[in-house]
Amino acid sequence: MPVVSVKLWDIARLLGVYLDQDSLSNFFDNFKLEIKKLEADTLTYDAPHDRLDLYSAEGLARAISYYAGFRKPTKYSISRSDVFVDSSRAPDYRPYVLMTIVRGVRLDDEAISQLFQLQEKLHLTHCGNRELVSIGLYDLDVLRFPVYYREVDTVTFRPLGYERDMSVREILAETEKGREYGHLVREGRYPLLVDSSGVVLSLPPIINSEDTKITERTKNVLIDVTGTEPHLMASILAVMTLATYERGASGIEVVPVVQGATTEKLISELLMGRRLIVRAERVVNLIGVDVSFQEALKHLGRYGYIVESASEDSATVWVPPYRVDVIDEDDIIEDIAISMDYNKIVGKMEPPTNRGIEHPLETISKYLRDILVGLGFTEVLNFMLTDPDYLMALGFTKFIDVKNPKMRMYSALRPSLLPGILKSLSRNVKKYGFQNLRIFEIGDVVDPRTLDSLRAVSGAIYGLGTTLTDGLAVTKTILEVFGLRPQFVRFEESELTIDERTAAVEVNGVLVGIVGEVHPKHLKYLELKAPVAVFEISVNKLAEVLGVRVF
Amino acid sequence: MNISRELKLPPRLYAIAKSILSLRKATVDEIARAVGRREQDIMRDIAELERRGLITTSRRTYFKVELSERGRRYLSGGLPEEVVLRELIKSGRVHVGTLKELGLDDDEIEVALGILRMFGAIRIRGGTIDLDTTRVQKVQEYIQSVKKELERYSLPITLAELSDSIREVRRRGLVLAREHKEIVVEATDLLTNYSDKLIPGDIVTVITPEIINLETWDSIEFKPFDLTVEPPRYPIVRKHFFTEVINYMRDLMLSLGFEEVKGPHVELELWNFDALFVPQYHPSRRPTDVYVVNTEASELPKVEHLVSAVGRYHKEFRGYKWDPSRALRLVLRTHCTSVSVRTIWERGPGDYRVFTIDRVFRPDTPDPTHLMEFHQLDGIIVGARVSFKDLLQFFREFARGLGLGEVRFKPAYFPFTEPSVEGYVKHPKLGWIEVLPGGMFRRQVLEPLGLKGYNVAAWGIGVDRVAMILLGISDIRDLYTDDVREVEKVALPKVILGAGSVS
Repeated sequence: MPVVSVKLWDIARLLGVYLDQDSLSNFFDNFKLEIKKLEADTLTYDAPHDRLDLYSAEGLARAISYYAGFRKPTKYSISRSDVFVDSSRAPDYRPYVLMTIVRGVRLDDEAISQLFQLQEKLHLTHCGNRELVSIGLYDLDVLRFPVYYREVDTVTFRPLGYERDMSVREILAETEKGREYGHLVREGRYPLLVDSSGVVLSLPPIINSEDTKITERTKNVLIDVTGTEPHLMASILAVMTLATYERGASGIEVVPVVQGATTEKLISELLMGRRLIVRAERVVNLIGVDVSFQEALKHLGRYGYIVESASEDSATVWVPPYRVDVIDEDDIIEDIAISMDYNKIVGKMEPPTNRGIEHPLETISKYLRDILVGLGFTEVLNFMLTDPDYLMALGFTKFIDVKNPKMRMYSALRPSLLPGILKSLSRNVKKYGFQNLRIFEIGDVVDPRTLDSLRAVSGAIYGLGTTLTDGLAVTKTILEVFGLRPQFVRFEESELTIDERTAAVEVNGVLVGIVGEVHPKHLKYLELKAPVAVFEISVNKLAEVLGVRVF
Repeated sequence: MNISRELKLPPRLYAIAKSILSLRKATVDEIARAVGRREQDIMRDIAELERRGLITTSRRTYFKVELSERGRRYLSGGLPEEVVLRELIKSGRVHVGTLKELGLDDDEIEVALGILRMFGAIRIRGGTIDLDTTRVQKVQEYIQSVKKELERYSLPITLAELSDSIREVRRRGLVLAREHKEIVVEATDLLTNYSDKLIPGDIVTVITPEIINLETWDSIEFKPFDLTVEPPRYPIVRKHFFTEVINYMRDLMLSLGFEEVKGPHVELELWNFDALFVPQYHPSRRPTDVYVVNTEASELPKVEHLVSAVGRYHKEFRGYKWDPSRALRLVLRTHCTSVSVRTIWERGPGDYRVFTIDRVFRPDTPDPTHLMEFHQLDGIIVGARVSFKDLLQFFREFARGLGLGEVRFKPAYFPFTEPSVEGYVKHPKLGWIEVLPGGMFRRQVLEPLGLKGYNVAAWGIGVDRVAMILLGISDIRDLYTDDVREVEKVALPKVILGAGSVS
């Protein structure tokens, strides 16, 4: 979730009313915002991923002013600019550009830093970290139109925040942004925004130029988005444009795109605001309480919506263009529910139509636990993620692992419970000096062949004099409690145990598990000084031979 | 009782029997003093000896009589009626008002006049008392009899019963007569016959087979235990406390009419993200947030139809180029909501409630509040009339079942639900904490799965956090302990034993 910082005095300026933290926080739940801290005059909050319109002071103040009734929702008047951008020679791997102009803004340091904050948060959350969309803001009045979005093999300009002109190569190698986003452009095919007199606006999606940046003296702002996803670009541009507009602007223009009429239409339409039909029946069906449609619609003004027309059954609702999170009527109904207060939505739950049914693997597992505790085994738990080196040391060579581990010791999925149970045994014996110990675990393992999750039960018996017989006896006891008769047959495929002292456990010819004495070389590795008998039984196989259907 | 030449008695009974024999007939109090114990401590032994026919007991009542403080004063200074009489004899007639000068209080004056009048020795008219000298002798006889009675008790004495005369002075509060009860013990012939053959038995700390087989329990004494000494705690073989808590949550879900399902830990992105309408550029899908499996699915499940439907919805409603190959990439599931959407895909329309409690994975470094592997309880309620209200109500009932108390709701955001909610419960130390996230699955989730005209309430509860609250554990890593001493030690949460709320 993006973390956003705003100044209380800036919010007050935008609202026209000073609200202290307490009064502000009353609104925050309604916008899914969570206050993190207030230091001096800086308020920091978590914004939800979907409300990108609230990633800066402008949007927050706008939302509060509607909710508190300081201002009534209005539509925006959008005109088509008489200047244009030419994208006919845009790079094919990043082909789209969209631009708007916001006229008559009043900017100062704080306003500029808020707009940059919004730009950065949008880049990180909805722009695929600039891969899909990148945003730029410029001082309109230093530019000569038309502006070109084109592919160049080289260019030299002064990047934002630097003292001198640099070549693209230098920018990619030496600037922080160049190193971070250089992989998004192709060598010798750089996307460039440049004006008619050759002044560079930016090298998207990497860096803007120092010469065209917005300053406190900027009156008219040009905003661009370039990228690969026109719909997403339009949404982002709408949010950015309407936030900038909150800085006292007098007008919004959409810049025509030569050879980009279709994409240009997306932003024009979006800025006009969409209309959605909200049905009375759906309001009651989704929220689940009997609220009159007229009452429900009354809530909408608080969220910037305009009810254009309403009958008993449905209403046409204008959605403010910065609410790009609103996809269908259910999103509007959520705002109604929030405005009603979730805590006041009460009533009986529909009664269940069926009785509860436990998963059969869990039912069998519960009985296995009881039996093993009765046999003197303590239950332990281990993670499914384990250390691949440890697995291999014990002879487990086939397992699933992950490409992007955070820690190598948790990067493989256990193919068996035995490595974990032996690690637990070793840890306990070393820590407490037990002469004898019995432990078991019931849990899921991942079959490296099928990638299926399988339920297994495994146990270890430790102590001088322990032999295979102890493992066989425990296994036989468990199976006989389940009314099954095991056959034990020689099994020589386990690296973990001694060939001469390993048995496969079969019931009616089905292999359900193995029992064995751990090989002394592994005991040495585990720093255990007495023999260990282990067993592992597949609970899925048990279910199969018991005739229990596992779904 | 065995006929034998000797009688073996438990040591304490032996000592008592011996003292009874030497005292012949004695009260329990006397016996107690003789054996150096308190009377109340040997009552059970006395009863035991009587049960065995070695002694008989009889109860006796007696009175301890002595003068009261007032009785002592009257004996030396004269009874009030005596004082008044003396004055009348001296003066012939007195005024009531002057009697106080004789050193009598109001009560005493009243008593004195009452007695004199009872004997007809005085007449009172208008505050003047006249003596009838003919009756003086009767009064004096009475006074003498009272004083004689008082003299008898000038030293405390013991009486078997109270005479009429003592009752009179007791009624006037001049003597105190307190009733006492005592038990008198006498040896029977049986005990007397054994008097030379009594021997003391053993004091035992442990019952031996001999005691049981030879039935010698009547001739031994069990060493009393010192209950202030802390007993040892036995090593115990137990089920793991975290499993117990998970099983309790499972039982709670079953009691609410839910059916349990399971799904794979290694999952297609399709189920983990795409079918949940999570855009492919969403931050939760970055390699820092999801483990990517180092294997490709050997055999792709039959989901072509679903893949293309999901793709259409992403394109139409999220407006970006959706990559089908990304949906077929394998990851470790980051939540159990994948199991919920799989279930909807398999079962289709209908009224049903299912849940799963299982492990999920997210790249993280273990610390007291984070793990790379943890548990979630995901569930869905499917039906044409299922609403957001049902979801909130489910959360309230679930919290009640876990003794978590009141739930407070706040709006929340999840890419796959609308409306979305986060439920908070009050933790005794941490305040309001979020434990119940959920929402109504979007139609962009349901329609590609083949569900139209149905609503689905869905949630994914963090099991570990709830378990930590119930168990009073503050480090999440402690839930997954394999330390058998820890497993022995952790107490079961009260709520799973049936108590109403978390302490």
